[in-house]
Amino acid sequence: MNEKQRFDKLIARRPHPHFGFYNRPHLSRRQFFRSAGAGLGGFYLLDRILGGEPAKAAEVETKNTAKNCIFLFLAGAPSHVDTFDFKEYPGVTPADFAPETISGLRFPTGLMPNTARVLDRVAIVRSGLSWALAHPLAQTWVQIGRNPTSALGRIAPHIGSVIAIEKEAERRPDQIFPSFIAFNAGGTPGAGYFSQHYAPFKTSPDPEGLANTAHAPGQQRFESRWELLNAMDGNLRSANSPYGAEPAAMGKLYDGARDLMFNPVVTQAFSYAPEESERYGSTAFGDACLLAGKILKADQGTRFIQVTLGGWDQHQDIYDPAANNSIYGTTRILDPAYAALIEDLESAGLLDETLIVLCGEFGRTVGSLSNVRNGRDHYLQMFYALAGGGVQGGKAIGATNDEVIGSIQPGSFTVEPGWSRNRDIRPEDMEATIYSAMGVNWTTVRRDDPLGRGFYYVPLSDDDAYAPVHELWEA
Amino acid sequence: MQFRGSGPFWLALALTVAGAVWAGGAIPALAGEPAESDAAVDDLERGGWISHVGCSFFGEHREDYLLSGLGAEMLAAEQRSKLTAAVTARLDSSVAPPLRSRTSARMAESSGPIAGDSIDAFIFGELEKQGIPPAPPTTDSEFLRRATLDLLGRIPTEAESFAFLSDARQDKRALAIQYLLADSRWADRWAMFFGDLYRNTQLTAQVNRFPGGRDALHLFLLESMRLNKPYDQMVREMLASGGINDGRAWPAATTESPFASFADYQTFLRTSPPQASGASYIVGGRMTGGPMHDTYDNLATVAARDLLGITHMDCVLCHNGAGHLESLNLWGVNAKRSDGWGFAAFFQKVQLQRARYRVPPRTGDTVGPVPPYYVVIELPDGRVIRNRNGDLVAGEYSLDTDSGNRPSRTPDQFGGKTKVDPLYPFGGGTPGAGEPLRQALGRLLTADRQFARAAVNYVWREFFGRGIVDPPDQFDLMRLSATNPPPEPWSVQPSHPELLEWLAKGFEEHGYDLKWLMATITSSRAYQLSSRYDGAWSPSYDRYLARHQASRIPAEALLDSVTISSGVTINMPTNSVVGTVVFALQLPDVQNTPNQNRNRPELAQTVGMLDAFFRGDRQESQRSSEVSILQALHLMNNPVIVARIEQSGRTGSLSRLLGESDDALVGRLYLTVLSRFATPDELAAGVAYLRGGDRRQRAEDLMWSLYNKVDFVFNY
Repeated sequence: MNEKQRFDKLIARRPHPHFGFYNRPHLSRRQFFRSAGAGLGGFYLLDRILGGEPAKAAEVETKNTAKNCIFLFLAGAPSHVDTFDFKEYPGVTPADFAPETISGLRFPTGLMPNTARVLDRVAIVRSGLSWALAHPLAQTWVQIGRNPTSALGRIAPHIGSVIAIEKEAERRPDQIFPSFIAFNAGGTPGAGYFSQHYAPFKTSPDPEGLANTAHAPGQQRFESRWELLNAMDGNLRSANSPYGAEPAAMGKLYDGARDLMFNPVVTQAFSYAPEESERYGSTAFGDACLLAGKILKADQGTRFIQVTLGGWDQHQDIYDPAANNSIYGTTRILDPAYAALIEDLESAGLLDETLIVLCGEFGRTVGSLSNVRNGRDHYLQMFYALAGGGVQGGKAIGATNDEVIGSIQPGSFTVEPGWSRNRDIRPEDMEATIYSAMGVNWTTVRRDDPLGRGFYYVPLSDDDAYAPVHELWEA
Repeated sequence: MQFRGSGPFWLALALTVAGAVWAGGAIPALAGEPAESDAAVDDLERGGWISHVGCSFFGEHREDYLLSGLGAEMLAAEQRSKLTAAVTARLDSSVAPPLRSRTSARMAESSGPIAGDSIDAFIFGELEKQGIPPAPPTTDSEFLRRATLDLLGRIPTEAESFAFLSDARQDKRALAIQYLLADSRWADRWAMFFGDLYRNTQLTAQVNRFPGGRDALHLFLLESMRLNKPYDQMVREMLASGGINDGRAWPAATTESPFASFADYQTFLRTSPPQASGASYIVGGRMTGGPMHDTYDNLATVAARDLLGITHMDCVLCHNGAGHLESLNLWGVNAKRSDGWGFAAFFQKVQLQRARYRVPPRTGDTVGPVPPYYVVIELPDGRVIRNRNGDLVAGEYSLDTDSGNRPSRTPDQFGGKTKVDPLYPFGGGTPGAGEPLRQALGRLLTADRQFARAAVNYVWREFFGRGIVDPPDQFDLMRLSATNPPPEPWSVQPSHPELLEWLAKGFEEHGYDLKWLMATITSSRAYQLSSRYDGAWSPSYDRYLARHQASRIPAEALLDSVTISSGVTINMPTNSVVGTVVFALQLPDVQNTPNQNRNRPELAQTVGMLDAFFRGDRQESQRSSEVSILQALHLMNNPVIVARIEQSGRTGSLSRLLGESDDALVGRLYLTVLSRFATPDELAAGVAYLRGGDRRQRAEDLMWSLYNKVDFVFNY
């Protein structure tokens, strides 16, 4: 039985051993607050909630080359054959895509000239395969790294929340930013069954700085109000609050919030000038990418940043150069921001320790356009683009068919998986890759899930169903 | 109204509240509500200062109170924001007496010893057995604020607080409960609750109910609440519901578009708003990526979870419980996969269908949209639909799957039988001859005591912060009885098994009347215990409810309480049938609502605040009362609060206080925002602060501080 057959069999079998309720750590919310330490970051965190020792984790060697992860999520599913798995279809592909071969990679330089400039720092996974073609399902799948309809999927945290809980112990007391920040996120999944303290800190870029850290009536008024509040509230928000443990946490929470206000570190990291914004394309996505870099430079405890860019569901008029929702329109937003992010992190010396993942939830149909609406429809084949964090750029993992085979057009299926497992690369594999890059054992099983069946960071890890794509690290 | 004692300040308050003008007067030191018991305060709280003659709770000036408290402007805005005309007409024509007649007898008793004391017998009996001293009783202001937040989802108005606190009658708490249960705000709050419980959101990872479908289920819940429909009836209707899920009268199904043009289609959408329908509950069960059986299993899963509190049904629908649930659920250990199938088979006649035509395209487009709805079809007996490949579309629960979201379904798992017939797994029961299957399920399920147990337990948690079985969706049917306890090492699951049974039985006997249930709960001494605790507290006391658990108020409650107390509204537009609303509790969904608008930054600020207070997404993330630093940032700095305070000083409640004396300003601000009187110390400190600078600014500062106080942010 080859690797692929073994995998298929595993998937069909779907085993999930359960684990005893009595053996799980119990932590009531009151205990949670009682054991609370110092207020940190955007959320009030404490290591005790880290909970059960992973009872079951295989001995694995993680790459542990990335300290941070920036997850650029292209919601709506970008066309792989028009971008990072570029295929030229005579009479279909617009001439101004002007493809070139850069570092051995075929790439539409005309469409994404800035990205072409940094392509030698980008590793492209071309053997990606989604599990589903429905947007919400597949989008959630990519972000939680498992089937959202599985029992655990329904309570599963975002990959960024897993990173946040794993990295909690590494926080320094002086670090004040949230571990997981999501820009322009909309319906991004949250912390699942984890404490909400690991939920994405959702915000939007604003040149003036982080929302709700400025006090409109001014700092002087604020100081006066702050003093008044503390006098008026008396012991209600203190450790011996007569109302119990949760109100007792409010004092420290407010102190933590205050640390973010009138704070040059926050201002520096969350505000920006028009010239800076311009380099990133002067878009909400670009501004968020700009801020992602600034936040990491600040080194204030943020480890996972997601930036979402929608508009890729291009069923209609995908090649209309003027339209905002065509491939031209969306790459106009993506291209300058992506390249500037890579270049800025590099010049700040942060690229080597920051993994940048760029992907959608699936790909789009290949060959000629849909004759109904001149667009491309949903398709399972997809790409991932990775840069930084120890990943070797200027190469591709895996390949789709370049040849026309009967009615099958180039870009239809994986001809070369390009990695050890010798099969298509799934969202779960990419999840394992992110964990490995960040030094998180992807076979970890937590014993604190409410269903008592064990929360597997990567599903089916006890059967070794999925694996990190460590070939990305090879030259 | 007659005033007794000499309280010029309270006289002033009463008069201004009633809309009259009061001019000056010396302000005596004001007795307020200190932390410890205080005879003067008790006197005040019991209405010693003021008595009403011929006053039925609010007396003849009730309307004035309401108007001045809510603000005429706000009332008008609320009325404007009511549902569209068609819906309003339907609701208005069907507004029932707030308490159904068979309940009112019980209600009268609930202020006496019977109903409430029965809860109390169990709770206090157990406390005594455990040797745990209970917390002291709530003060009147603690009670009113808590009951209003719990029953109506927001704080009382200043006028309501004042009227209640100054009422001298011994039975005023019972009257207040009756008043709150009769209020239209009650329906908003509990429609939101059931929207959460049934996870009514437009878009999930599995299915797009579409805005109309989401709206129709919201309207169904809202209408059920407004009518105080018996809960069993509501569930039976919902389970059996079918047809087009947005409740619109779409033109007859055909493969050809019934609309001549895109404009016609738009006109149709505009002129026929969604109507109440429970069909979206069924649509919400849709599972993709597998055979139709997966949808039937999922419907069984959500029905067991939402209606019976048995979330482990999900496990059993993949495999027998034995070998999996040994340390989780004793019922589950004995449950077979086929038990789950018998339950799922009640849904086997469900077919979900989209419209089979496209609307003519809009100018410039090549194709038009498929109309945004699902049809929930209940196939007739005997009819089975399969597609060209032989895969099941709808009509039977056949054991012939080998792909999808759950393990293969094969005859060898079911004694060689190739199909599953509906069999209610909790005590048996099958459909009657010719009885539609989902109707049969509704009949069997709502007659099951577990249905009542799950319902009272879900509701109980809303009032006590924890279920009698907690978490409330994890019932273990074999660990419920104290007289027939489970074998070692299992323990009895409910904290108060007899109470759970007593409440469930009472709920049945009172016609599944949610208002009976809530009146019974809120009338109890157990509910009316303070959250302050004098002795040393141990977390192990939580389970015995020795004190009330303070919890951070929900997202919508927070926003609406700011609206009510500031007297400044924010009109919140939605892409839904409810149109524009002023209260967040009237929003039909928790995701991406209200609408945002580039020209109105306060809308994005509102959404940001609602999300920061963890309203959940009705999918993976459930509503949470956790607190966070982000929440503190919102409370301190979000313009939704900060700018509204300024606006309140110009046109809202604060503007009406600026002309008052210092004492009255501070005292009424406390009453308005915190729903209680200021203590003498608080009053003195507030007045001193007020006099220390620009009066308007200082008053704003005071209001800001009140909004950030623990006793505003928490329901205590």
